[in-house]
Amino acid sequence: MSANANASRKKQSTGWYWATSLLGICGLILGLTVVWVNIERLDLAYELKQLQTELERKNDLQAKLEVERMNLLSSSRLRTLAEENELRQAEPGQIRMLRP
Amino acid sequence: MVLLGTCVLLIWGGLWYRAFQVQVVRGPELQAMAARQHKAAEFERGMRGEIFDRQGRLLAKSTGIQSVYVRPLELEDPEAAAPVLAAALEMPVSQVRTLLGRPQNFIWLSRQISDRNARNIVNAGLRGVYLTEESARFYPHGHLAGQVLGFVGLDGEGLEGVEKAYEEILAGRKATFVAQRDASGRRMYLDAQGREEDLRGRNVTLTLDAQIQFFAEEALAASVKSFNGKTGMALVVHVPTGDILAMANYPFFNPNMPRQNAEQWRNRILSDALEPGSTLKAMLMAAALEERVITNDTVYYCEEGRWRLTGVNIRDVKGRGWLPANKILRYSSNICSAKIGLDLGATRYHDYLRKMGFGERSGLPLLGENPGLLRPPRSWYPVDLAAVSFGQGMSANALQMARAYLVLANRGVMHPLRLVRDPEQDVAPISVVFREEVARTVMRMLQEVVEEDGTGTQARIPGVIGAGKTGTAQKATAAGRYGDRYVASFAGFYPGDQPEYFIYVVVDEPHPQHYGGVVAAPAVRDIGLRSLAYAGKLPEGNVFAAHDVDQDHIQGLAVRDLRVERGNLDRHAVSSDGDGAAKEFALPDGLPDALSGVFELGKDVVPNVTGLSVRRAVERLRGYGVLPEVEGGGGVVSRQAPEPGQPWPPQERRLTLWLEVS
Repeated sequence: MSANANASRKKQSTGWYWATSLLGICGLILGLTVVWVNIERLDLAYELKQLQTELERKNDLQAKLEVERMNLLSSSRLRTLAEENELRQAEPGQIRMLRP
Repeated sequence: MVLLGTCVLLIWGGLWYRAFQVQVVRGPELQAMAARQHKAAEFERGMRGEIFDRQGRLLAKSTGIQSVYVRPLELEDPEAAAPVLAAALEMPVSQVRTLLGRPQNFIWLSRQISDRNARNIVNAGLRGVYLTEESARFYPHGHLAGQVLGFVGLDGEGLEGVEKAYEEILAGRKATFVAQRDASGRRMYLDAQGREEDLRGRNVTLTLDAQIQFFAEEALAASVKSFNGKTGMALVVHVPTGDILAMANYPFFNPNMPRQNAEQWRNRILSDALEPGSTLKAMLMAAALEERVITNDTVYYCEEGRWRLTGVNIRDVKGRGWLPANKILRYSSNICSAKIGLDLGATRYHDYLRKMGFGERSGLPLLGENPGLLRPPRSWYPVDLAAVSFGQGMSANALQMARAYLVLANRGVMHPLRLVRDPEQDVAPISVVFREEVARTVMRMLQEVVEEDGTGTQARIPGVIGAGKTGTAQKATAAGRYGDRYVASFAGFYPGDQPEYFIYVVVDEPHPQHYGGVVAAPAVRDIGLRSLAYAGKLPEGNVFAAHDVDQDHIQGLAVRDLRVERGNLDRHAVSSDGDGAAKEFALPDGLPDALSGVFELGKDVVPNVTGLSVRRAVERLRGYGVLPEVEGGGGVVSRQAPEPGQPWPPQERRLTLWLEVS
């Protein structure tokens, strides 16, 4: 009876050891995972910030190019170009509308 | 063993106590300290909204641009840095030295520099010199509509024009975000934290058409320069909708460089109320017709050009005797207009002027509009009433004139003017001012001013019926007397029979010529011609100018396929007031190529009866089942509407013939 009780107690204490060890390992893995995730997150944060800066730079460039395009297409510039190429305004009677 | 256990317990307990102290007791305080160390507030301002014209052309846009500042305490050798910075920024060295010598911790060296200069600064690699991004406003069309658009300050706030009036809509919103930073202070993206909210300002779309605005500015500049004017303004309005298509001021103002031409940023169309002169006579005619004080045939004696009313002399440019109402407007008689005004009475005339919007702001969403001056009728003496009858003694801005003329063109109904399409502009409700037939009658009179031997013949466009009224107002001196300076103006419609465009041009103090019909009418014609061509609304028929084509050659033309007789097809040259203008001959003969064998003349399209005698024209038209309306006096048809070759109006075959003495 007492031998059985001793064996059972021994088994229980072994179970505790295993459970504690398992929990410890899990804790360690979780801790490492948290650290790894945080490092990854920081990397991503740097990367995102860079991408954000790049996007803003490209948006600015696009805006500047759009302004430049409108400037090149402005009526006053086209008028100057037309004069340089000896084009002049059509007079009444010189205009023909092509309709489909 | 017990001792060891006790030690472990004590250490364990101590750790728990410390953890409790750190996490619970001092938790919030330490958390705040950590946040200050690792997080930073980041301010962000959304980009300012863009401004477009009615066709979606970009008129104003903001973009990021670099500014350079210096922290002098961090500069290692300011003396050596000054020439490097000056070269990089293309600034005088002395100016940079002065800036660097200021006893401040933060100095703006140059704001809103070019990309090339920013790159130069980066390449210079100077300590204590920093670049920061700011927002700059660009106007890609330069001075186009400069006074209307206005401009923004260095900090991006609207200071004038649409930029100021729509500041709340255009301005980007501000927001503060939390950004994580590392040990060296570099910012990192933490999370969206409200960034999903759009901070950008809203766009504004105007009713202006950049192309028509360009036409208006070119024609206005040419007119002001040619006639040595001081300033000028031009307004183009789309008649059916009241949309303002062009609002031009001369001298021009370039909003890209607001400080370099600061004295020109005022939008005179809004802020200058001038005496309109004879352009107001159309309103007098409409009011008198509405009140049945006159009819189209009522005649007045124009005193051969000189009349004395209560001690004040009133003169006409050219002395005339008895004139019917339409010719009073056609020849712009001040004396007869004054008599009509006196018959109408001050109260009634004043009421109509108020109904047409004089003396009150036009309702455009721009700031600084001058409502003009329209004194109450009880303070008008007869001579004041006479003066207001021909447009002196009161003042109005160009928008008020446009609104009043639009009443006539829109069959007596007053429509509000519109400058902004999106966001929707608040507009006043429409109101009826005149009966439809009154408005039509005045519009026909205005056609005579241009198409007959009136004062506005220089506004004629071959192949298009024009309508309009000249104005030559004397300017009052500082002493309150009228001097020898004038304001020349012309208010015109194209086409005159079915108005599409209202064009108003004013030139201030032109000399030596100062008549509206000479100074402003050609500019109106030019704007009208180019606007119609741009809209594809110019007739396509061959149109000849008298000086280009021999009349015999014109008479000899034959359009055999359409069996149009050309024996008398030449249009008589009509001179106006001795100015030698209006020598155009219109032969709308574009039919042969386009319509031969497809349409039957007279049945499907309008036949040409110009040049025929009235009797022959009426007989011919009767053959097509059309009874024409006849305008003017004389025996020969000088002009017709609709033009030859045009399809008949869908509802009813109506044709108007204008006669002249053969």
